[in-house]
Amino acid sequence: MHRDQFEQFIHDNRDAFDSDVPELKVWGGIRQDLDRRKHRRLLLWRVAGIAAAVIGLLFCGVALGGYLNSPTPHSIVALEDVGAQYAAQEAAYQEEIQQKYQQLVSYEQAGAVQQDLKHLDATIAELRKELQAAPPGKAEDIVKDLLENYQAKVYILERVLNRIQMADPDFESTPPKKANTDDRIL
Amino acid sequence: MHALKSPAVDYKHLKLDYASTHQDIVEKCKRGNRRAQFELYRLYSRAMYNVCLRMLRHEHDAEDLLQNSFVDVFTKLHTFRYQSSVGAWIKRIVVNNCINHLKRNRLELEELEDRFVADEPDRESTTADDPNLSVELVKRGVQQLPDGYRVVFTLYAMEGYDHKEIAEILEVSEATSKSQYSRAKKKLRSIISEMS
Repeated sequence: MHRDQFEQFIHDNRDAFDSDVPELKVWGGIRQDLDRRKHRRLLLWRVAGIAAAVIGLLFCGVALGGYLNSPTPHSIVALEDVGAQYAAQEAAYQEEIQQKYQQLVSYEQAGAVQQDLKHLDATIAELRKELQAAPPGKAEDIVKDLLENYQAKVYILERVLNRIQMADPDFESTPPKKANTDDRIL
Repeated sequence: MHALKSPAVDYKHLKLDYASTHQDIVEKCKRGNRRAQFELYRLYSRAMYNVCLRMLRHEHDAEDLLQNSFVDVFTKLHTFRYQSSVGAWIKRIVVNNCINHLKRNRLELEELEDRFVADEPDRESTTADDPNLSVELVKRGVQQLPDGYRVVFTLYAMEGYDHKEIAEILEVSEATSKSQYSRAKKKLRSIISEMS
């Protein structure tokens, strides 16, 4: 590039033209501005996070509400849907099982039947699941199977308690140690 | 025992390197490292302040614009991809901010374009001798130029932009940039000769 003398002078002395220095407060202002922006950004993220969580919860609530309120014409959720007598039988069995189990857990022998009882619980849970998806025609058979399993539990508990009674003559008179009510089983 | 050198002595020999990308500092700045941001500010603030002063004339305006421009630099730095030197990138932000500031305060480049675009450059004046030139005289003379002249003169003679770039920055034609520069130089010469 051709330069005249004037331009050449500026070029040769270019650094001398940058002799002024900004005051220190300029950096202070920049730092403050950046801090303020950072703070605002963090606040924005926090608000956005809370908003997202609230929206998520609302969505879950709506979805759950919709699920719980949705009509399920072909699914059976309780035994009384199949027949009132079955529901009554189930309640009676459950009460009996609970009573006997609480008696049993205060004895060492309880451990021996835990495995069988758990196996029956799993079968009952499976049958309940089947019952929910079963068409009305099949439901009664499943309910009968379910009640048989309750019956089996009662039978097992009765047998174990009888054996304990035979081995311990003071069974009726000796109050068993306090049953752990939290350790419930159906 | 060697005497300890002060940092000022070390920095005295450092020339501002516009070709340098300062990649290490820039990357730290992108991550919001405040020390690196200060380092980048320290490297370029003086040169950029003088750009602002030449363009805006007033210290207070220049400092305000320098502050806003560096905030822009740090908030936009994530878009910088080393397509130019970081110094040139920063300078472009500063220059654009200066132009916007002047436009807000009625920089009338369009008017100058209408009045002077047809004028031919004064070739005689560009070759005349300037035996009494001094940095201080030129600085004072530039400050007395009207806004349009001063901006074009500063961008071309001081900041090293060519007329094509100036035309793009100011959104005028290349011919306007050339004619304004020529007239600015003539006017500056006249101001300086009156002062000396």
